[in-house]
Amino acid sequence: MYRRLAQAMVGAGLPVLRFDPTGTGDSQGSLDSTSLTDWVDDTVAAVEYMLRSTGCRVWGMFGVRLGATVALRSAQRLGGDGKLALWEPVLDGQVYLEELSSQHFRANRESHILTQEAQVGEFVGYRLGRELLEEIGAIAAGSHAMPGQIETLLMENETDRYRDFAEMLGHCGSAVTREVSPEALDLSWREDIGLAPLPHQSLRRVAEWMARS
Amino acid sequence: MTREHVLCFGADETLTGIETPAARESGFAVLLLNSGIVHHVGIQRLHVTLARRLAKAGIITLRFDFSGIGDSSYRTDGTPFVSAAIEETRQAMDALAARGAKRFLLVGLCSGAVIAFRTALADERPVGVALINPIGHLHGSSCRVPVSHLRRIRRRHFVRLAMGSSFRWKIWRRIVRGGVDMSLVVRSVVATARDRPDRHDDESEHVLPPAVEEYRALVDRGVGVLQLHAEGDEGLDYMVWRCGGRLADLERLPGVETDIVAGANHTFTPLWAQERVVDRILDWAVGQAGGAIAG
Repeated sequence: MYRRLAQAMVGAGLPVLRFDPTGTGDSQGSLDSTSLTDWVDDTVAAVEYMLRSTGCRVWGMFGVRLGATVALRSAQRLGGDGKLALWEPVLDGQVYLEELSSQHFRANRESHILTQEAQVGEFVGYRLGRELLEEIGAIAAGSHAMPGQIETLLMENETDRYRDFAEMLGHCGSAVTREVSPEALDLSWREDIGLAPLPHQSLRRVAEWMARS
Repeated sequence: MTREHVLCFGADETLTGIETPAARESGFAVLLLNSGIVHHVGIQRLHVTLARRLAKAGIITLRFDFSGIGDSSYRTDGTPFVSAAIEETRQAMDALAARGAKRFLLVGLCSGAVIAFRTALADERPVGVALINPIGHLHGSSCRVPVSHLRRIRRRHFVRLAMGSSFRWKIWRRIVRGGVDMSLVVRSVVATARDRPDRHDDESEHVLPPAVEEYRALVDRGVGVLQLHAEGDEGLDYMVWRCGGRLADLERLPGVETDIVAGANHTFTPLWAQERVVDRILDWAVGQAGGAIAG
């Protein structure tokens, strides 16, 4: 998905960096020894690297779910001229952890898994460390440091899902565009590794918005 | 910390992978092949974990994306997936050979296992293949399993799980609670009892090459084969159905090892199952490399 988005943005003339924060994808570390704070540090470092290496003066960030929350926190640290595209950001960490738990139980129930005693922090094939769990659990609506005057695109699965949050951003000076994504974002666990519908229209929309000066 | 780097290779360097160098040179390399459409980090980051553990043991790894998956570009020549993936795996071996690798082990889960098997039949460089939950690899060069075959395999799969697996109580609880159509259960049991695994009753089956002979072609060349099955996976039932009474002959071939991870699903979701898979592949790969990485 991110590769498609990157190609669309490059096609629109934007330099793009896709990266994995600590403990995810190709990066070093593991999820049981990282934290949200590490991820914000990684993201800020990635943006600073891009500004330095491309000579651009305006940064842009795109994130989905928890990645969107990390982008929001990073934007607050970065300041300056920037654009933020957030797709269904996590605004309530407890609800998010409950969603992960319910996916974990659904996987155990529906799949051919002989349930053993789950390890602490085990969620559908991954182990989240104590610090990460605590930081996610502490994410609460209204407790977000607002990034200030930053142009923001909020993509939501349903109309008005993020209305209150958009108003808060607006009060802090952000120019907020809210859009219902043409394709619903479904990141739920599935065992079939031969299928993954790509949200083409939504990605195209994000790329167009990001490229607009 | 392991210093990994991006390797672009193939025609026009359109294929992309991550090379994890070994702590010391051994000339041994493992290729980790895509599972379905999961990119080169592997399902639940399995390939990353394996690559870093193998590197510590002295074995180079390349985890790369077939064209159209992850970071690799699409092909535009219309080559069918299996043929393209075999060709690209051979190109990955070329790229590693140019960097000093001499002997190759191919490791894959699901469709990755299919490509590992078919590549080893087509190219003499692999000295070992680890097939994790393979299905379709014994259906000729296209690896396409017709729906009629799948139906028979799935019936067999369901009956095995309900009657003789670690999951049988879980399944019967669902049946008793009405979560499963009872007439389907009865039909499956009856049909499976009547179905001789090696009975070939449709045209397409007559042209399938003998399964055991394809394995024999590998072991005669000295290729080690590890077959790792999750108990809850259909690949086990595929092997029984496809090989029939000759499955035992296949498993007795020198160099063929078969293991079943009891209580695990197709993608080894629980952490304990992932640890079992990583440990087993690591032991097998180190065993295959033998003296090349000793000391």
